[in-house]
Amino acid sequence: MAQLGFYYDMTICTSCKVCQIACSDKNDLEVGTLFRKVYNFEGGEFPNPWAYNLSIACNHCAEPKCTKNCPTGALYKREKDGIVMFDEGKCIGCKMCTWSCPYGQPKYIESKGKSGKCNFCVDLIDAGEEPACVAACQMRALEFGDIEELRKKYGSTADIKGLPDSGITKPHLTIHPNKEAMK
Amino acid sequence: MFAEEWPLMMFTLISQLAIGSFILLVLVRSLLAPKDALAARNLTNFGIGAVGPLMALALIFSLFHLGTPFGAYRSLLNLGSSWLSREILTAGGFLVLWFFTYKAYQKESSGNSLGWLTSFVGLLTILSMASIYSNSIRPAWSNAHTYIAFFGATFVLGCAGAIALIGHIAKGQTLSSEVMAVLKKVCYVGAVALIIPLIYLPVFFGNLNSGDPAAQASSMLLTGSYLIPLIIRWAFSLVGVIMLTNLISKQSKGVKTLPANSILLAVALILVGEFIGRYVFYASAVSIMVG
Repeated sequence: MAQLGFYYDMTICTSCKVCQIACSDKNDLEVGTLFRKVYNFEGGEFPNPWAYNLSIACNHCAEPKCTKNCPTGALYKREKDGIVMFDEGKCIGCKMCTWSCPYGQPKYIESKGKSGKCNFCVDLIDAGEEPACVAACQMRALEFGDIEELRKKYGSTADIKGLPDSGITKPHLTIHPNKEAMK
Repeated sequence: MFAEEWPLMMFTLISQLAIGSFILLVLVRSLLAPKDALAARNLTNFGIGAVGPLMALALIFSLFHLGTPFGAYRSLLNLGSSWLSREILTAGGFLVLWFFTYKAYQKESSGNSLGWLTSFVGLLTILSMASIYSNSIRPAWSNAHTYIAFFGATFVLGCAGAIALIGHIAKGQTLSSEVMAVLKKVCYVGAVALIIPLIYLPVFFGNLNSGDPAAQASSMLLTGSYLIPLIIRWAFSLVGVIMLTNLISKQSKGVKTLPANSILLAVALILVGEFIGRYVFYASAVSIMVG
């Protein structure tokens, strides 16, 4: 199977945050820990104000710094679809992954003494279903699939205002940005 | 910040103190051995003995950083790409080699090759330590400044540690001109190790100011909230190293003893200076992030 990635259509996202809630529910996350987060950006001035949203989770990067820097190998790329997996049994809670991801994705979970992250709802994917965030999005602003197919269909914009340079880790993410978000 | 990062502050500072002291004690021993083998052994054996417990203490402190400390052994599982794995391997290797060096140095006629091998592994530990921070996504860490600061601290703390440990064992003794000349060299190593990071500081600030928003935020912190601590850090370290160098120079021309109180004051200034510097290092690092 090819490398999986996300597509996010910023132009239709209403920031309802149901993706965020579905993710937290699926992963049984405690309050304050989010594997998918919706950010809101606003600016401009009357009569031309602007606002846009950004829903982001782990981008299962081509060159993830988290897997490189993790000392235990708890973070690794799954061969068949390039998902950045997390083995909780191996994690020692050194927080190195939280120092490594430019998207702030692996989260340190104090109560467990270990990190945690989006695993693309790998159990659902393996059962032929969609990840919880994609399935929950009422605006169909999120899609997932073979990143090359998504890029062919929607373009390959991964650099927008508010996101770190995609050259750092080469994220498997493509975005349909608002004009104000374009770099 | 302190509540979160104190184990790493203590681990990095104490391990740099231990490794730096070891290297400079081996240097003292190597330089003195051809002229006065007995003094070389007597003056350095105690200090070299103290390095192991110091390094063990540093490693114990590092465990407090982990959310799951009983899994610490698993930190060696990704040596292929993780500098954290390499740091733990080299730090552990330094401790093991220290033990064999210490045992070998107890014997009458032992060479210094094991001491230098242990020193080399110690330097690899510092390299790995700096590379961990250099490979992060915090611009204030991910540049050459981290290497310069960590190697600098190793030799400044090493100078303070070596002189203090020799001073402790030589209390009340009149030392030979050869010993004083070697101690002067140790002070010069400390002075150079302090001046290089100080000279690099404007380059570091220049890089941060011309970098991305996170780099600029770090620069603003360093020149804003942390400016006073930064000034105190350099003032303490400079006064400490100058005091120590001046003291050894004066004594080598005069009575050739090591005045314990003055040495302790200079060493305390250096330790406090480096402690504040490390605090600022952790506190001023801003992540690049979404937003």
